[in-house]
Amino acid sequence: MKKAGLIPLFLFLSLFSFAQVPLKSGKPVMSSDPNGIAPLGVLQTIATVPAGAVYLKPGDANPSLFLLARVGVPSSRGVYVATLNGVRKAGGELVFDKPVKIKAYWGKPSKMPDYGCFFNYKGGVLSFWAESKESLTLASYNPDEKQLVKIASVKVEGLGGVYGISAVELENGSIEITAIAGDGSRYRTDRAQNESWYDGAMIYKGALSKGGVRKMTLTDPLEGGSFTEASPASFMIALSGAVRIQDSFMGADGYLAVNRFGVLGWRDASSSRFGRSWVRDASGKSIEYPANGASVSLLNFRSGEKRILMGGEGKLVSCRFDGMGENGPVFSDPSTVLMLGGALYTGSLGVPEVVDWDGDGVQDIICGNSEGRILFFKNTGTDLVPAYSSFAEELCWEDGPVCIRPGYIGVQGPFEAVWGYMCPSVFDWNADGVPDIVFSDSRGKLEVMYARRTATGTILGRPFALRQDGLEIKGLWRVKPAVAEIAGRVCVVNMDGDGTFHRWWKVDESTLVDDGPLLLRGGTPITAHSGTADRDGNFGRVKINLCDWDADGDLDLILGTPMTSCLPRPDKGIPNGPVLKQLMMQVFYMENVGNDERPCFKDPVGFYVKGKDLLLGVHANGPEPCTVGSASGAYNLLVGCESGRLFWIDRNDLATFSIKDRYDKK
Amino acid sequence: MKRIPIYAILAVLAVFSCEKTPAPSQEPEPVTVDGTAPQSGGILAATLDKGLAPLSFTKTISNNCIGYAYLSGREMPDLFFQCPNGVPTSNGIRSYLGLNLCEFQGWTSAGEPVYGAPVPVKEVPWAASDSPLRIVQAGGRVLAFTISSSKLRFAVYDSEARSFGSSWDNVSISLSGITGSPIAFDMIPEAGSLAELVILATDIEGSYRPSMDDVSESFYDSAGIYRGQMYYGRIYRCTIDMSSWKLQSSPVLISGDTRVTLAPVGIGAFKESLSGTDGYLCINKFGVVKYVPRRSSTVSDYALDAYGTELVNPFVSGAILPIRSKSGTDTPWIVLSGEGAPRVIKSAGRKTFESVPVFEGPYEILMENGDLYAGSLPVPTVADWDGDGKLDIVAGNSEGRLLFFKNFGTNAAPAFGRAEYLKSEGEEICYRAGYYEVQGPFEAAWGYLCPVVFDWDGDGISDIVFSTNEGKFEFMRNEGTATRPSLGRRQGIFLDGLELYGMWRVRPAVARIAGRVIIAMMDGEDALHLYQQTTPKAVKDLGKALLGDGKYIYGHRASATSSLGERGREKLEFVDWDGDGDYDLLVGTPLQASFPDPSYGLPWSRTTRGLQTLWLENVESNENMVFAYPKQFLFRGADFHIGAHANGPTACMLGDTSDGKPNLLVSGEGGKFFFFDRSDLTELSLW
Repeated sequence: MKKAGLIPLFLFLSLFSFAQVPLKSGKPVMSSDPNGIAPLGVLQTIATVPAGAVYLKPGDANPSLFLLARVGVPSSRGVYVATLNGVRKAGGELVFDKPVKIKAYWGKPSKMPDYGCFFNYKGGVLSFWAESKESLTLASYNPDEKQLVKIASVKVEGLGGVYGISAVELENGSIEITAIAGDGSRYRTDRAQNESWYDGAMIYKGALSKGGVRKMTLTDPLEGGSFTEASPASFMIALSGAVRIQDSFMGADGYLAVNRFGVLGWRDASSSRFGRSWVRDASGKSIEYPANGASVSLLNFRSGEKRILMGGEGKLVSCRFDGMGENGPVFSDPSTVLMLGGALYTGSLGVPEVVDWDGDGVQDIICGNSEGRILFFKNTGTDLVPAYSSFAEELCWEDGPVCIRPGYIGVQGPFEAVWGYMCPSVFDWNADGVPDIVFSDSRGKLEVMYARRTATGTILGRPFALRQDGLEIKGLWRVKPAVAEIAGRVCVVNMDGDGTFHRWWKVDESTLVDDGPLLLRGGTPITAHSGTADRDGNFGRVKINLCDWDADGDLDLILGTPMTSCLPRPDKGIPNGPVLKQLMMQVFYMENVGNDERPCFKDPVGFYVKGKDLLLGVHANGPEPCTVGSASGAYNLLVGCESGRLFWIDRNDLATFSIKDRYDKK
Repeated sequence: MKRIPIYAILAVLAVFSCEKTPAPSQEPEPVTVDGTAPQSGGILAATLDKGLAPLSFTKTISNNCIGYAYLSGREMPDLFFQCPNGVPTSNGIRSYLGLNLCEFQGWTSAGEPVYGAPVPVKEVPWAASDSPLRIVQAGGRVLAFTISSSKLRFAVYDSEARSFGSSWDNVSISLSGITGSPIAFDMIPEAGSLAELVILATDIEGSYRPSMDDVSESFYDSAGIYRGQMYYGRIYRCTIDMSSWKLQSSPVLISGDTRVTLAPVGIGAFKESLSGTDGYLCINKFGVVKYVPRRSSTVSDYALDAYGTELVNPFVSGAILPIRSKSGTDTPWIVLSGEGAPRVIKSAGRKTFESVPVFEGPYEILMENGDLYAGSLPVPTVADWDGDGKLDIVAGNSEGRLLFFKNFGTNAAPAFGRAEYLKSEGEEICYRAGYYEVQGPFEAAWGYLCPVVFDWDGDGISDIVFSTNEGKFEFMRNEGTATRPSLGRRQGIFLDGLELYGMWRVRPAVARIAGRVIIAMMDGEDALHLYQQTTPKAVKDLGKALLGDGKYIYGHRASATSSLGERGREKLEFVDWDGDGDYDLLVGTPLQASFPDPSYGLPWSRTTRGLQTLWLENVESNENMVFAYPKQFLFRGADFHIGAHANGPTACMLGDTSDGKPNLLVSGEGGKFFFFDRSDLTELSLW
């Protein structure tokens, strides 16, 4: 008989033991770690939002975690549950079983409410869902059927505009529901098409909306009630999640609250005024969720150990409660929450490059992501049968991980401050034999970081801008530039401010000279935007690759786009989602029918995979032509996507469609 | 027998070696030289090395070298500088607005050219013109040329009268066939009476600014792309007979591409026989120098420095002037000038495989008995930066650089050395916004670094807290020691995880006040706002600062008539100015500022210009800072105007501080530091 509260230790093989996992065409690249350990997540969804850790049944030794997957490929949206399997010996990370999608009372994924939570109540599992300002839906979870059943609508007052809820059974047997509510200010302002979100002094025109914590106590879950302030409404900018902490959990009553920038704050329940402190680790360093849009849940082990879980648009992390400090609770640094049988995880909107990064002769994966970081997935297998560890290393500067973000000034406003959208190309820019990073990101700059190999790994230098005539080259945001050597000269292709594919030649390490736009047959510049779209965030986002896809001796274009793109001209193109209303894999091939010195491209064609559209998400796909898994040496495709997974596709499974094919289908 | 490990032997030897050869002292011996007590109402002078300092012009911002002539018979010519903007002579301090002549004096041992102090040219016919000018020595005469309304005109220099006369010669040459607007030109005398005229013209008519129905709108669209025109330069050439003053050939487009350079500002003919280089050098606003060969239609290419990288003048540039040697037609020296101290580059006598000329330098042009010069719009803090017990000056400037003027004298009689450019992570600091900037991408070479010296991380040694034209507030930690400061990388300061962001070009006020580190800045509404540091990377909001009547303290006037770049620019400093035990605020402002109320405030609501430096007295306490209505400083009862763009005041214990209270140092847009003894200062109030 299992002793209650004792977590079975999951016995792993050596940390350095990897398995070669055959690539499956049209499927995500899986972890080569023992038992397929990988960051916990749900395939094909962007965010991993914890909605409560509970014991599904009173006798369970280990808790289970509910995850909300609201954004992503439609078939993947929903609520998932995963049971804790153990704690990894090597690093102390939590390891869960593979998440299982539950059946929910709302049926279609599109009907799923935005905010919900799960909690234990009198030995069972209850759930509240915010579906209107006047009511919450109470539901019960049946673990045997893996089904969420609606019980009733509960009338509430004072809920207002809600950005997240959580609930907990209090020690006195009542229930406290915690809700995040805005301060009534309006983050977005009205504006004309193409008008900046910032004024002439570069100040955001909308409000930097704050949020506060509201609470409601119910003695019976079916009772209605009123929410009241648990904190001032202006508690924190962009507040996105909060959870009630009871004295029995941490020895203090209060609220842990987190905002969309990942800042974690503590409010003592006895605070009468603004009182707030930052949650820190034992060294005094602030605890932060490393990605955008965090939510927070509690994990209460039967052994007595306490953790919090934070998730959002990035990996799920846990922090161990280490006691109460002078200014609030002290937690351990965030550690990645893992799962069994998982795929590689890049962070959302991965932009991969396949390259021998560490010089060991086999091709690794370098991948940028929406957090603004660059990950290194080492290949311990071969190019034909690679083995990528899911424990990716973050590429680092001398003093810490690379993390490039726009901050206050961002194309879509300051609340997107921690979305960096790193789009790296790997190229030996200074010709020293070590590949460097040429990149763009959400700031639309074109920059370089030099790499230097040391005994302990590769270190990147600080970024420096590429310039033309002394002015930094500014293009559209979130574009992966392509870099190639042509007849002894180095060229860079990026999207310029007009939304045109544009080529420059390298003059020296920071200077480029303009070579003009890339042209279609007939001389029209290639663009990727619709003629009617707001320039806003719709422009850009394209991932550019130069490679000889058809092996005819010159460089073609392999492009990844968002669904809203309209390639190659504004009046008619693909994928043109708003017009065509067709979902597809947003990866396109444009054949060079000129030559490398004077390129000229045919109209793009898209790819079917095994005769069908492969949906990977709408925000942007990041294709990378690569020879991994190729016995012939011909290019296959690796595609990064919004869910943070890397899909490998054998070129033999690819067929093409034209623009006409798609418009005929309309 | 037990063997002694080799590392143990080495360790013993190391210790023995250290005993025999004492390690050099970690702290340098303080050196004190005789300084000069600063004169109230005067400019801090360079006092070391015969007052050797960058050639500068007191109260003017841009100083464009637009011509030369061998007038004094020395190996290098005398230089003509056009100084188009700044403050006229006032308060007993000469300005050099207009045209000036600087006479060559010699060289330093380091090979830097030394010139005499500028001498104004008395009469200039172009005083009210913004047309391009060039001064050329030809046929025994010194001629000034201008191009205006597609006509070339000239005037002759009278060296005795030091004047070009008050009107242009009535002979003019019509220059038809030029598309765009001539922005610069060069006149190259040839054999006989002929001269080549080469003209750099922009490819747009009118302004590069976007049309603005609403001046509060951004210059950028929603994709972050500039809405105005990115303009380029193209080159035309013609030949003129200077005896008949007729065109020998009409202007023709000669540049192989019509986009020689973005943001062009200057052109000059360059020739170097050793390498067979013959063509034109163009400079743009960002300081980039490009070369166009004379005899081919090839496109422009970047001129290179001795390291093989593009040659860049380090500040916002306005002119390029190749100088012919005294005998011959080669132009071994080239003067680069604009909003900074002029520099020269020297031909290296070689070219690259692509036939691009290579240059050495740039070197600063110096003058004797000069003033301390910090580049335009400096923002000083007076602090003991190097731990030698004497107050130095640390100043940011419009270039985005951070300068350290070491004090080799005493606090009462300082002797400041030439500026040392401070570094971050070993790289010279040069913080610029780049493409995305309040007033558009053509201001990319301005950084407007506004630093304050303060122990931000509480480790006992001074760091740098700063803002720039990016409008965000950051810090650089001093990772060295008190006596050997070494700045680390720039790091953001965050509020709830979002960058602390406000108006551009604001120096924050930072002080430890009542046990808390308080930082004041101008927020997004251009209102004075207080924050409290929680960690070196985070602050919490204390709200907008208040006047005694509970009103907020705004910095801008109500009606903006141009872009919102007028807002911000304030230089704040916490100091107990009146010695009553609590922290007050000093505020340096631009001319358009209206403290504390947009409809009525200082200095804008006054009809006379004055020192744009205000004092806001703390009328409550350090724990609860509440401010009185601002007062403007007068010097000996009168206004003291040192420039419109922004003043950078800092309280300092330099000079006579026997009463224990600080004096005032104020930087002007012309790059100089004006010293005011507090006994000469009175305050003016509008309320």
